[in-house]
Amino acid sequence: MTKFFWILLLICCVLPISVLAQDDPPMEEEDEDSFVDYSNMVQTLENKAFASSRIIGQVPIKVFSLGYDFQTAHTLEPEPFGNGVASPENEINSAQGIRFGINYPVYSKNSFLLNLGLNYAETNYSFSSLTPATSNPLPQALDNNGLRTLGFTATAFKPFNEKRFLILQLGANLNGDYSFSDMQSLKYTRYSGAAIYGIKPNDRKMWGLGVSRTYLGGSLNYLPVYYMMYTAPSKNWGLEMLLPARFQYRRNLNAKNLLLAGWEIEGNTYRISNDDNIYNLPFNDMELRRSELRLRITWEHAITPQIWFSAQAGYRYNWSFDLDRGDFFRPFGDDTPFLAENNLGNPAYFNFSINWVSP
Amino acid sequence: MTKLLKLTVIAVLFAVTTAFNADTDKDAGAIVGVWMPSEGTAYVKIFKEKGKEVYHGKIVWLKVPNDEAGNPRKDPNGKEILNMLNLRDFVYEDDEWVDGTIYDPKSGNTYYSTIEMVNEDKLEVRGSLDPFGLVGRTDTWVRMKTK
Repeated sequence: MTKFFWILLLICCVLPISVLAQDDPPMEEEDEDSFVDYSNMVQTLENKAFASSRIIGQVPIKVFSLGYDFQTAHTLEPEPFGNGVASPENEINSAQGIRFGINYPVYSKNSFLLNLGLNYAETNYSFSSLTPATSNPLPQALDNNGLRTLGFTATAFKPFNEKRFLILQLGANLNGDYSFSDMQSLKYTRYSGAAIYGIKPNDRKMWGLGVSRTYLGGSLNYLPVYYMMYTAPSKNWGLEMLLPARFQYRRNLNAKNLLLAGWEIEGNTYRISNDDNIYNLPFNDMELRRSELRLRITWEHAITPQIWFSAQAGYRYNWSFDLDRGDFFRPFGDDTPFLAENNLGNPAYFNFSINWVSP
Repeated sequence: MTKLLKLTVIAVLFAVTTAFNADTDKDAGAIVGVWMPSEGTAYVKIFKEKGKEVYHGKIVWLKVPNDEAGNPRKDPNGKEILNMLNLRDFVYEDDEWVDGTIYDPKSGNTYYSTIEMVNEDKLEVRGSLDPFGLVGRTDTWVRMKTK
């Protein structure tokens, strides 16, 4: 924990920039303002205008983020495989873990923007009653190592002119019950992506439609997506959404405080390792289809213009916590049976993070 | 003879120094003028501060000078955007204008900034969160002239 304290301290102290006073303007060497009609000027060169990737009033982009996620007590009722004997409910005291993210603009010009990101999230389960691994080893696997996600993302924003743009996103994630001392093979990397074509009519609104290859529902799926960012003319409120993954209503309380209400769906497929046949099963390709809906309220607060604190509270509703074998396309409505359909309880959750933002 | 040599050396050094300074002044002053950022919604006049080798810029024209209510447009801090000083304290060094800051009147935030001149009519203005320019965005500005 001491290590994290120092990291937090470092972030808080990192390179603050002073806000300049606008008083006492410097004198110009030659003041010719009174002789120039600026409205009658022309460009010496063609400078094509491009839509920017942001709107006024939106939640600041998190360049660096370090957070902690905590779910309160809930239950896990694993379904037995085949003709196995049903296990009683397992009591989970808490599920918690660190979350870390970098979203770095490696190329950022008005005509093209490329961000590369690195994300890490872990969920460590603390069981108060853990039934022995009989015919479903999931509780044992969660108790041993928890779940981890290590991901890489590349996001490109390409404006074609001042109103039209394209967003491309690629993601590669290594998900599973691995530990850093016993790393999962890269062959279990799962790839996702999205392409959105959009319009930005003005500085307060941008929207787009696209398609995505996603693990939002736990299994691989292909979904249409709708993207919209909006700030009302009063600049007091707005909407930010990437449906169906997330939606939030934004209330701009003032320049330093934002209040958000909405949802986010988090989903992925996690390899559950049976290396060395530790669970005495005739296969080693189990994957946990994890998908959860997070209904939440978030408070975003600017400690300095670049350092923001985020506090979130909400309800974590389980959509899928089922076991499958291998990675395959499973559209909505697909009736291919799961290896096991597990029941996971729905707890309250809290999330805190400190962020270095690009306002 | 020695005196003549000394005078010659001093004269040559003076001439070289003067020529160098004149050239530096000319390069540094090339940034002075009226420029349009890529969004095309404003013009910024860059000028040299009186009596100093420091450059600033102010917003001298707005495509939409008034808000929906017909009042002059203001930044989030309530200050009028027109005639606002948004570039500050740039000094010329190694073919770039550095150590300055740029103020974004849309967000109300100030960023570290450097300016590079691509050619006499085009600037690349970079605003960044850090003084090293690692995390930031570069915008292309073009020079404006009277018709």
